Amino acid sequence: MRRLRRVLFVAVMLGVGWWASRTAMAQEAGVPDTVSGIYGNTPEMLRPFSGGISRPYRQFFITPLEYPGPGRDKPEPDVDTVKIGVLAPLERTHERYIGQPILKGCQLAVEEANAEGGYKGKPFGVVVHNDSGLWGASANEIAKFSYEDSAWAVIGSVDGANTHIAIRVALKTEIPIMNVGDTDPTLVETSIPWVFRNIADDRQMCYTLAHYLFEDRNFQRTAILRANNRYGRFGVAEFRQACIRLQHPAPIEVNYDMRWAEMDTTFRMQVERLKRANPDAIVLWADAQPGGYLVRAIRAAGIRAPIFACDRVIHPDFVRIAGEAAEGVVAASPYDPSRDDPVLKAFQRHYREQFGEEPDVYAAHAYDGAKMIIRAIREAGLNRYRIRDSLAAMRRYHGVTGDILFDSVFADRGPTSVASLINGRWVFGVPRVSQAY
Amino acid sequence: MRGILLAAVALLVCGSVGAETPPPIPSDLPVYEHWEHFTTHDGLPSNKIMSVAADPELDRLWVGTDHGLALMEDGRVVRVYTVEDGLAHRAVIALAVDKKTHDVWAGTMGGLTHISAGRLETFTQFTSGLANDVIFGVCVENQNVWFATTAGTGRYRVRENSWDVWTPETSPQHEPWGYFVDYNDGDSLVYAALWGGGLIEYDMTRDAWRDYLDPDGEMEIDLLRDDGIVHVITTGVSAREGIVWVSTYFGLSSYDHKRWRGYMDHDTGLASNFINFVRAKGRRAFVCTDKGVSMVDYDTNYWVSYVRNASLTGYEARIYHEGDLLEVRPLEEGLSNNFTWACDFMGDDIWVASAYGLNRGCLAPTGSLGQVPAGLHGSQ
Repeated sequence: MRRLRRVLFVAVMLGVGWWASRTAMAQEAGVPDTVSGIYGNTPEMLRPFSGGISRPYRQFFITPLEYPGPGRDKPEPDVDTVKIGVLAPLERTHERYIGQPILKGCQLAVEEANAEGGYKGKPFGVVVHNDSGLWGASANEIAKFSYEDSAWAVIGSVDGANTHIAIRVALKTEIPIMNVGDTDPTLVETSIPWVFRNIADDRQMCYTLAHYLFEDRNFQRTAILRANNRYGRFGVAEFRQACIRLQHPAPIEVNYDMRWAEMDTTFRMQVERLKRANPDAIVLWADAQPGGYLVRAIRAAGIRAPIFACDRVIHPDFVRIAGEAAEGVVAASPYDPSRDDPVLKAFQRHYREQFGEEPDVYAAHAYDGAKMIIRAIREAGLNRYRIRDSLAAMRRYHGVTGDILFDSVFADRGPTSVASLINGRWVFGVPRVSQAY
Repeated sequence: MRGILLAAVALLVCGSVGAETPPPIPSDLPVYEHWEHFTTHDGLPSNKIMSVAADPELDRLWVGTDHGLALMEDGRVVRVYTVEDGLAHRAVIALAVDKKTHDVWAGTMGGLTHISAGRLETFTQFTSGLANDVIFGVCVENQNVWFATTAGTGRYRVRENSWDVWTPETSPQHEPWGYFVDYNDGDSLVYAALWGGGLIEYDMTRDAWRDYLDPDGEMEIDLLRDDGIVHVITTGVSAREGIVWVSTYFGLSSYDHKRWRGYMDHDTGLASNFINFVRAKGRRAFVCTDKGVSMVDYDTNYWVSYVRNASLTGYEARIYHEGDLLEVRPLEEGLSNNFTWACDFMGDDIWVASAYGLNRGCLAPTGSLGQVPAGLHGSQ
């Protein structure tokens, strides 16, 4: 009887095993992909789960994105103007100070292209839509660029939330998007083959700051202070992870409300919390104006910890508001505008002549982005699919912002820079960092 | 003790034998070997087909294009709706048919259009409770219509003429970017795929939401295959017979309310990880990718993928078990274009919206198979 029971048990188990092998649930781990590589210039020690799992099931963004659909044989239409769309926060938004320079950079590039003969004698033109950010407005704007304006490509936008919305409409309408002002790392981590970004992102700037803070300077307790919107949340994400992976978890992460101007420009609560945490360094991810008020309040409260900030503080508003408190602040920067490069110098001169002001980081990247699109249109003709292909093939572009090096998701992975505020002016390349990403 | 040991060995042996020697291809595995194409030559307003919805009871097919909405009956275009007719926008990117009333809800890039008894009524974010005018997904749930927009996921309660919108402020949405909504008749759950927000599930009996995110929390990897949805950038969802299928631009996931399973192109028969759309039929999922259409049987893990052949000169149906290619069946015709946006079913037939042409796949010859016009395949 015992023997029979054993045989029956084995038979049942065999049946279960056979059934399990046939079902979708049979596999436990799957077969790890054989494709490997480094995404986003990520240092090995900052790679996700690098300390515990040797190989994830699948790595993404290692091979170039492709658009395998049709359209490349569509004939070129006869047009009066070759339109390039610009989607930027131009009015009724806190990012107006970024949107305006983007528009100017694009306008300058288009004017220069037209002086060189335009496209086969036809002028380029800029079609402008405001990115208000209200209730997903950028989705409606991309639809307008695509169907009503007949733009050949779009430059924009700035806020990570709005650009994510824009690119998924671009996928459906099949129009290339050149992003020149959104440093949200996740924008290109969506696999949309119509998206290009020629500005270094917060991932790279966070890596540069993390390496400098923890490897070069050996800081132990770095507090994080950021905006409570998507820019702040995703801006510091890689830095927060780096703190943990490099064994220096941030003792505190404080955010401020985007309605700060109506609520409290003294930022008393944030400063008190920082003071209690007693950090030996502070990383600040904020727009220029609130950044200025925050730095002023931090110093007024007697907090002497050095401040390391995002690129958005490299703006006259920040220095004007923070005053002397801004001295010594170090900011990450997507590029070095003090580089001795004749192409850059010519751009800066033309921009000053045209607009009576210095071009900022966004104006420079917008200028490069527009130039890249113009080159793609000239190479590919008036066909959005071929313009996309031409941009995708442009893996290295030397612009006024330096060498733009597209990776597999068409994001610039050229090295970032840093700047220090010394005697009221931003001095680039200071401090010297041992590793820039 | 010896029995347990023996059983464990038997399980291992059986499991490994099962993996190495797949059982023969089931005779009931549906393989669409006959394909017919429809283009502007057949009266469609455009060759870019962005959505499709079947109304089997009336033998009607609704076809959304980037130049209007077409109604097909008995395989022929009988009516085209344009902006001039009252359509919200020329680009129709989502469609749903109310099976009880046969009304049609068309999600466009300029609002939501309701077609009822020949009348068109359009809703926009300025004239209704829509969160945004680009309607990525729409489905009918009893007397309600659900919609996915970039600014929130919502419900239009038609009888009450009232609107509900859920955003991260009012539900567990990591991001508000709705991309697709799905409801299966008789269920108590409505699903929404959110770009960047994974999957959310609305329980109508409890009036409560639940979210499902990628457990590893990383964009650039999928750490473990079966730990949850493969990525938070979800593009579609379809729940039938207790199985929820979730598509992403990074692969496919299934969930049977106990366990998740991931599917990717490197170790299954999936044509591509870039998935625009998923629709379940029974316990099988049909997946529209940028490189063809794939079908997977949940219970057996057999796959059929409809793709161009390696030399791009012809078509084939590839049959897999897990990731093992078992058979390649050359097809006289295949998909008119491999970049596919959506699909639906009319009886045994599958209708596939592609970036260049509408496709009808049949299990048996229909006797009127179309030919692909010159240039239809684009530059593939």
